[in-house]
Amino acid sequence: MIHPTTGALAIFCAIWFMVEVLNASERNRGRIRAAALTSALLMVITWIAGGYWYVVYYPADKAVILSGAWPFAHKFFMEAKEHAFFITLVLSLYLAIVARKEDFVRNRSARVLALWVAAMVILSAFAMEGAGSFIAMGVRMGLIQAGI
Amino acid sequence: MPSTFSKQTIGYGIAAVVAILGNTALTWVKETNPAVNAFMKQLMYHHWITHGLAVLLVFLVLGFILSRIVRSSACRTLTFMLVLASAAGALGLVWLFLSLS
Repeated sequence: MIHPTTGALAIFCAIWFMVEVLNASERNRGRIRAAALTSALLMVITWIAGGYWYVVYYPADKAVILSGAWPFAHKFFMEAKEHAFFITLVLSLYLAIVARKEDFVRNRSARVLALWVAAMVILSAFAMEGAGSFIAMGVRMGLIQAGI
Repeated sequence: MPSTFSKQTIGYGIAAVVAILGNTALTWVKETNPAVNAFMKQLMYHHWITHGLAVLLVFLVLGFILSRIVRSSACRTLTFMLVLASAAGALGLVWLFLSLS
């Protein structure tokens, strides 16, 4: 599956961005912008790849989950995940805009803003990865219950 | 030492706050009103596609407009507003789906 991988890579790039901003100087301006832009692009790929999987293939998994022992894997984790993802997407796009327009070397307020936004991208994306594990386990529980 | 934000940072920041809170509000309306869900499904094959594009459009279009209206300033509450909106948006979704499941 593509989207958990690109999502994890987007998290790595957001962490990379934080490290670069914490060490902001004239020399790493390009890397700061590259990290934020790569994170945003990977998050857009995650949206498209995950969305394709969700719309085309998930209905079969959903039926298995709902008939199994862990219906909450869909009713709570999938439902919350599919909508909370848009928060992560908006924040990672915003991070790329901030990285392009602000001077992190001289502007402490911009550094603080960017670090908060990056931290929220990382935290929310990790929550998505965790919710994905519950959903995969929900499918497994449903298949076990069906004796497959 | 400049401590002001650019017009784009402020404009798209406010748009992000609106898009994040709008995302949670639209989810509440959609999940508690089957007619809205069906209408969104009719628009673009799946309610989630309509939902995602609506949130993205609000962020991009509102951000574009606001970044041309606002002036570069310190805007001390911007970081706080973004953190608060993200936390409130996420908690609103958790609350909704805990109460529905």
